[in-house]
Order: sequence, then structure tokens, then C-alpha cells
Amino acid sequence: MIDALLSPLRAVGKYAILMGRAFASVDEIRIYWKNLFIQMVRIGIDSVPIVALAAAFSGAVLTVQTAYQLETPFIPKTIIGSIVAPSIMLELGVVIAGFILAGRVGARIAAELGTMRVSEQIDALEAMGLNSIGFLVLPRVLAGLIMFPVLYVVSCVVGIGTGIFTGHIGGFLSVSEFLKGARQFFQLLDPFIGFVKSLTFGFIITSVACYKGYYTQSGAEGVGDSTTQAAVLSCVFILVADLMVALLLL
Amino acid sequence: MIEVENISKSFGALDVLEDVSIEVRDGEKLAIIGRSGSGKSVLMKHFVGLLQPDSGHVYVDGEDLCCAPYEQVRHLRMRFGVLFQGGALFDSKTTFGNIAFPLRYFSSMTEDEIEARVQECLDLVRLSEVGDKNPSELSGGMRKRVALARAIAMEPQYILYDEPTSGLDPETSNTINDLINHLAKELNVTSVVITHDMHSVLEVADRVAFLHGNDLEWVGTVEEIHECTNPHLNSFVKASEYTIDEASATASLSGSSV
Amino acid sequence: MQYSNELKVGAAIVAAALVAFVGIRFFQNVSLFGESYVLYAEFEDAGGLVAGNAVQMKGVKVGSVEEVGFNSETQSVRARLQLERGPTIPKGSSARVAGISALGGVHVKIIPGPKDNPAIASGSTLPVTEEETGLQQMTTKAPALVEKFDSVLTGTNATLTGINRQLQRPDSDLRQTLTSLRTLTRNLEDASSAEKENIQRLIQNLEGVTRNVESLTSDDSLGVTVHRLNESLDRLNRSLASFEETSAALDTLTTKLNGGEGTAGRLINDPGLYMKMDSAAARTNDLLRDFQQNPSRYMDNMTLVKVF
Repeated sequence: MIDALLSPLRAVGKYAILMGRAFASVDEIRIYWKNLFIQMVRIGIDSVPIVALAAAFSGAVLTVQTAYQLETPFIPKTIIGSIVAPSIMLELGVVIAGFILAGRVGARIAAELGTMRVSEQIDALEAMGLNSIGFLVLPRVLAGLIMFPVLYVVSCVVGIGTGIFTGHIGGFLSVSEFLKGARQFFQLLDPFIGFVKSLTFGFIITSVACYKGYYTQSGAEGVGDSTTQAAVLSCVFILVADLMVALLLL
Repeated sequence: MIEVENISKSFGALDVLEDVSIEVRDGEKLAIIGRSGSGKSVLMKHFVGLLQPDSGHVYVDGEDLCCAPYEQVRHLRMRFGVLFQGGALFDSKTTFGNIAFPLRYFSSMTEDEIEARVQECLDLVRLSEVGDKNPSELSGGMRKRVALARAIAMEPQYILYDEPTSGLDPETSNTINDLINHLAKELNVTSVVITHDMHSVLEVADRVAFLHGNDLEWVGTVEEIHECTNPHLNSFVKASEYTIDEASATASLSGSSV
Repeated sequence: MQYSNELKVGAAIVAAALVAFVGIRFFQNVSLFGESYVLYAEFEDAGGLVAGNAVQMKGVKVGSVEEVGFNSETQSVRARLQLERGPTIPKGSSARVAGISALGGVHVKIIPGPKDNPAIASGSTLPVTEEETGLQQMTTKAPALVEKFDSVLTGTNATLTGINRQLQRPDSDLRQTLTSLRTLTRNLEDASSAEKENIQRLIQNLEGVTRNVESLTSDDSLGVTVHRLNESLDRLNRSLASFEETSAALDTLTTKLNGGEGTAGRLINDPGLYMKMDSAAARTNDLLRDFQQNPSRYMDNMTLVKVF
């Protein structure tokens, strides 16, 4: 019973120590420079198509449904733009990208590190005298922190773009009406919060996946467990962090 | 010289090592034998600080691995070459990349010098033409030899072999055993071989340490094994003898067929 | 062609940063590059103005409200207006909040000054024409009304002069009209002079009160109140002066009509003109009656003093 209560605490501690050791080796980043760029391409640039796809659909759906819900003559059509654009910047753009990337990036990292753990590649790195945490964990977490805001921008541009396009093609409102509405209620805080969220999610996804992967246990099953848990835990923590950021900054 | 002093290690409720002491002398070939799960690999990982003992000390050339800061431990590890059970080759890199890997990170060699050194190591393990292949394209024995080439790339003082012959056919096993002997002589390194393959022990070892039930039960030279009175070791050796006979039979059979 | 990872990542980051910058500027509705043109305006009441509302001049959008906040020093609302570089705002322009917030149409209206004046420098504060509400609305509207009335009369005058030559025959109906007109004018005159005395007395009283209050306390807000009071009194005086002018103009008109009797014969043939004149006179009358009956309505700001 007590152990059931203590083990989450132990996991949190282990996770914190891993992150602490990763960031403690940041002075060696010059050695891992190349690795950082490899990870930035894999985590960031390779994720652009899937993030754009998800953003395109969410932007389109949001426009269609907002238009449907506001179908009264008393509300100016521009309000659709005023709702869709901030929604994407504040919430949808970054959260949907987060979920997609929890699956794509989180699972990938966990599987990669998990396999390296069970095939003793991590031990081999260590035995050579390399700092395996600095070599494996730090570049991935940094890549997440740097590239997620980039993906957030992609998500926003594509999401709002498809929103405008759908509104125009579907005959709900013209491009200029959408833009007028979006501009009317635009606040710098909206993209700023989205940016903070993207940083947070980037850290959560990569760090949780690294933790799960780095401490994978026993064989193929262990790798499978780590991969699943990395994706699921990332999604759960994204939801929690989403609320926290909103409460703190709004 | 590696000195292990009274180390104990347990994982959760499972005690693996209890008060184990052993020393590895410079230049010798020590074999650590024992049944699967007797803690041979755990003991070996203590030699390079991959595991920290719950109590006791490990000294490498007089420096305590257990209490040193991480930076110093990493520095000490560079004196070691480790051959892991599955080879532990980085599957994101080619054979060449694997062997060049430690050189790129820890030596100040130019790319040309690295290339020359990699070729030299590949020649030492008698694999000259696999540099551009991926680890997944290699057979089990080749993978181990590439891993061995990687382990010796930095010219270590000590080479630790974790089950070098497990999972290999007897002929390849013999090649590996030859290599161990060859490298020890050629490079003048100290070797520690973890194995349960008695044939391999008899082929390569100067001294033998027998792990049984969390403890080192017997330490002695190879010649002394047959005269020892330890019942556990005797039954371990006896159980291996059939395999050894079979192995040599297979070896001669395949030898004649080729 | 194989691009290095560094190049790919660098390009992606730079592109994202650029897109984010341009996008934000775009949504903020600010010209993309070049320093922007900023003016401030301090309102007593923002009337639902929020950041993002439009700034209009002559009904054309010339910029947007960037920030609305309190100025604790002057106890007013300070709005930062981001304007396009294009149209110049001449010196002597003023701003006010217009539109109804419930309809989302609140905007800042810039009333341009004389077009030959040099442009206002970026960063300066525009004088504010307060939004017209209640009493203030009355005091500011009174002179406008008088002016309008004046122009109506002038127009009539012109018409009358124009037809003077053609019309000769006098008529009894016209005489009646003129008589009524004269009485009307006299009434008007009487009323305004009586009112003048009343108001002057009131002003004197108030000035006394103000002085007393001023000597009683040196409180800042009271100072502001008194200042504002003085302002509205000034304004009242001004509207009174306009009234005098109007009355005088009416008088001249009457005299003119009196002199050239025959010319007004056309008035009977054109009842519309007569009606126009009549209603104009009636409007003046109404206004004066209102002045007489509710002088307090013209002194909204004075209610503040009643507190003491």
C-alpha cells in the first residue's frame, strides 16, 4: 500500500534527476552539437507534414462549426473570424500538434532509447566514457524545446489559413470579413500563450519519452511498455499543463 | 590492476552479490565463470562503474571507482574496452561509424588517421571488408568481432568480454577465442572473460574465478580446476564436459567437411 | 541536392520567426515595417473602447487603438493610437470616442484641424472633444443650434432680397404676418435679456460659492471640479452671446421686412417659406423657454458643486 503511494514519488524524483543530469551536461553540448541537429530535424522538420495536416483539418472544422453555431442575423459574420483565429492561436493549434507529436515524437524517442537500453547500447556509450544522458537525452529535450515553437507557428498558419479558405469556399464569410474579425479582437497575449504552451509541451513530450525510454526494462516487452506509456503520459501531462498555463497566464 | 573489495549488490529484494572480493592482475587473462544468473555480468559492470555497489569498493589502478565524481569515472572508463553480449553496436551507424565513434569523440585524430585506425582494428579482428555495412547486415559472429574492433580502437589497458562466445557456432567461438588470445599477446592488455563456456575457459584463461550463490566460491589457475574439491565447481565442469566433447566433435566434423 | 541538418534547422527556425513576426504585425493591423505613428488621447470616459478598435478620420479608418489604460495622475483614460503613415493629422485636431459599445462599433474619431496646419508629431497627445452626454451635450449643442438658426435666417434674408425687386403689391395677410413676427421678435428679445440677468446673477453666486469652496480646501480633485465649473460657465456665457447675436439678426430682419413691405408679398404666394420662418422662430422660442425654465440643464457640471 505504502509502496503504491511512494512509487509515483520515486518516479518523479528519478525523472527530475535525469533532467537535472541532462541539463548539467549542457556545457558539453558542443560535443553533442551534431546530435542536436539530427534530433532537431527528426523531431521538428520531419513532423511538419503531420502537424500541418492536423492543423488544416482542425482549422476547417472549427470554421464550419462556428459558422453553424452563429447562424443568426444578429451576429455579424466577422465574429466567426474573431472566434476561429484566437481559438487556434490559444488552444487548438498547439494542443492538437501536441497530441500528434506525443504519438509521433514521444513514441519514437521512447522506442529508440528503449531499444538502445535493452541492447546495451547505452551501457556501451557509458563504458566508452561518454555521458549517455548528455549524448542521448539532452539533444532530444533541447530539440523539443527549440522545434515545438516552430511547429506551433506552422500549425497556426496552416490552421488559420484553412479556416479562412473553408469560410470562403463554404460561403460562410469572405476572406476580408474573416480577417477583419480576427484583427478586431486580436491580442498579443494569444500567440504568446500559445508559444509558452508549445515550449511546455515540447519539454513534456521529449522529457517524458526520454525518461521512459532511458529507464526501459527487460526486452521487447519493456520497449513496448515504455513506448505506450510515453505516448499516454505525454498526452495526460499535456492536458494538465494546458490548464496550468491557461490559469497562470490568463 | 583492478581490485574488487567486499562488494555487495542487490536489486530490490534480490541479492546478487554478497561480499565479493577479487583482483585482476595486469597482463593476465581472468575467466569468471558461473551459471546463468549467478551475477557474472553484474560483477563485470562494477569493474567499469556501470553499476555502483551497495557496499564495498572497486579500485582501478588504485583509484576508487565507487566514490569518484562522474567526470573521473568517465575518465577511468577510457582505459577499458568492453565487448557486450550482443555486441551493442549502434544500429544507426555503419560498421565504420561504430569503430570510428570513440575515436571521433575522444581522440584528436584527423579523419584520415581515424580511417587508418579503423582499418587497423578491422584487420586485427580479421574483418577487412565490412566497413560500409550496417550492423543489421552482419552475422552474429561478425557483429561481435566488429564490437571487439570498436572496443580496442582506443587502445585500452583492459578488455572485458561479456559472454563472447554465447550464441555462436563452435567454429566461430574458436575464432573468437583465438582473437582473445591474439589481442592479449599483441596489445599486451589485461583481459577479463565472463563466460559459462568451459571450452572457452580452457582455451583462453590463465586464472579462473567461480561465482556461485552470490559469492566467489573458488579462484585458481586453469590447471587447478580438475584437482579442486569444490562440489559446485565440479558439477559445473562435469556438466560442461559433454558440451565440450560435442563441441570439439562438431568442430572436427565441420573441419573435415570443409 | 543534400542539405545539411544545420541548414534545414536554421532555415526552419528563421522562417518560423519571420512568419510569426509578420503574422502578429498583420493581426495587430500595423504596417509591417518602419516605425509607426503614435498619438495619445486622454478621455474622461472611454465608453467601452478597447484595444483593437478602429481610429477613424472623416469616416475613414486611419489606424487602431493599441492600448487603453488608466492614467492615475490625471484620473483619466489614456489611449494609445497607432496610426498609418499615410494621412497626416494636422495640428489643432481633436479626438473623441464615438459609436455604441453594445454594437461593437466603438471607435475613436479624429476631428481634423485646419488642413494647412503642420502635422502633429508622433507621440504627442491629442486634445479631446468629450463625448456629448447630458448637460454637456446641451451646452455644446446650443451654439450649434443658434448657428443653424442664424443660417436659416440668412438664407431667408437672401431669398427676400432676391425677390424684392419683382414684388410690389402689399397685402393685409402679410401685414398680419409681419405683426406676429415683430411680436415674436420682441418676446425673444425680452426673454433673452431677462434670462441674461438671471444667469449673470447665478454666475455671480456660483463664483462666490466657488471661491468659498476653494478657500475651504486645497484638495486636488476639488480644484479640478472648480476648473471644470469655470469652463462650463464660460461656455454658458458664450452661448448667451450667440443668442444676443441671433436676436439682433432677427431684429434687423424685421426692420428690413418692415421697410420693404411690398417685397414680402411673395411670402403669401409661398407659404412654405413662411412656414420655414415660422418654425425657425418657434424653435428659437422653444430654446429660450427651455433656457428660462431649466437653467440647471445648461449647467450640468455645476451639480458637482451642489455636493458641498
